[in-house]
Amino acid sequence: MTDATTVFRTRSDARYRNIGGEGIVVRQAVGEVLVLNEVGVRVLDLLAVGKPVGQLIGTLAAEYEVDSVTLERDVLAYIQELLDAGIVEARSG
Amino acid sequence: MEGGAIVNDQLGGKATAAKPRDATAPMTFGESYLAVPDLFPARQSGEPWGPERIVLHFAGNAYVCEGLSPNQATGLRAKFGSLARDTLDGPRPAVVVRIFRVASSDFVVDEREWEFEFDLDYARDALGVAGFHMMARLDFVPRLSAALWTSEDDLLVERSIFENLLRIVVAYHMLEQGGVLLHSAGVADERGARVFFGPSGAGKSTIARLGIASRRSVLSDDMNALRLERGALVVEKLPFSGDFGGSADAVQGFFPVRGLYRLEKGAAYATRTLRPASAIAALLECAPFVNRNPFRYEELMRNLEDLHERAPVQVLTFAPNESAWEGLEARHVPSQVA
Repeated sequence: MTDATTVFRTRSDARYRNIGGEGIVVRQAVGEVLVLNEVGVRVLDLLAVGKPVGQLIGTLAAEYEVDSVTLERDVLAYIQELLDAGIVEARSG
Repeated sequence: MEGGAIVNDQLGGKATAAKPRDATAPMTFGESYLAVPDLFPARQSGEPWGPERIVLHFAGNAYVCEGLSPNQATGLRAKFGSLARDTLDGPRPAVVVRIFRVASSDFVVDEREWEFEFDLDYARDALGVAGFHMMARLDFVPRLSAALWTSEDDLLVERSIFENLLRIVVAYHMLEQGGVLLHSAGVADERGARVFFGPSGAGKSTIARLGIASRRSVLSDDMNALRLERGALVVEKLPFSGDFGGSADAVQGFFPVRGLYRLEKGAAYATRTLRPASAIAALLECAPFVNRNPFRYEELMRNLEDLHERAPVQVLTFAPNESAWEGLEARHVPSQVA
């Protein structure tokens, strides 16, 4: 269950590269390549520095002109997509 | 705020004649093909099939094939024609491919029809290959070389055992030289060549046929080598079978790249430029044998980024008629950065 204190990280088999503001994530073991847009890249960058979900949403709120309810809903939905795609996993402890 | 978008593509790594087995299948390396996978050779040694030696010249390089039997040498000369010579020439070091003889009992014996799938085993300094009546290894240190162990004499060429290994060797050789082997169709005229890539069924053979109908020449509709020749991006046909691989319409030599196009199905002619990340992801999808190697990932991505700098990728959809080439010529934008 994701809450404001949950911290995610990129999975070890997901190789991420920022190209021209967009991201490529390659999961070679399963033969998948995924392209992230600029927002997706920003979320992944914030997850990579270990920001809990709550802080991540706060950071994005300062960067994007969007109401807080929409922002939180969209970010949580996107993190779930990243989980489902096998790009990130919740850090334990 | 728009949520982040994820676009899935597949690293198919598929070749026309042979393809890597699905990595998600719960198998260890070679167990479908090798009687005793643990005895996979740790180095390039064994009993040669014979004393014959042939040098294959293409893609700006030479590939020395040693240890061939007379039958195998005859088969290779017939298949590769003028590309097969007895001597080395040119400044670049050759890649040596050694052919060794093993017993048929070294391989899994069953009633399967001949298969063109194979297993790949990735390591930092080597690559293992196991397939139907063959096993091979590529060693990258101190320089690229390869060894093939097979129980087949005549069938080395007839069943494309040698060709399938050579595709892999060339893929890694191109990588080391700053280029990439691309599952693609190349179509050339006197000004250069356009390269069309995409998944199976996207239209590579169709655009190649339309090119011939408009009096152009096809390099290959299966695999082409993109590489640097004196600092310029060129494309060269590889002598591997495709619909046009052995036809009289196929040309030899290398050509400057006029454009890189990812093919997508559509009803009418249209082009759009891909953003860099999507372009490189699309190229990655069509770089067989190397795109799933975790030890060569950084090298491959650097090459693809460099390639994209030189020739930005456009998406092309087209109707299967002559308007495709009319559209390409009418809207041509020089692709290479000076």
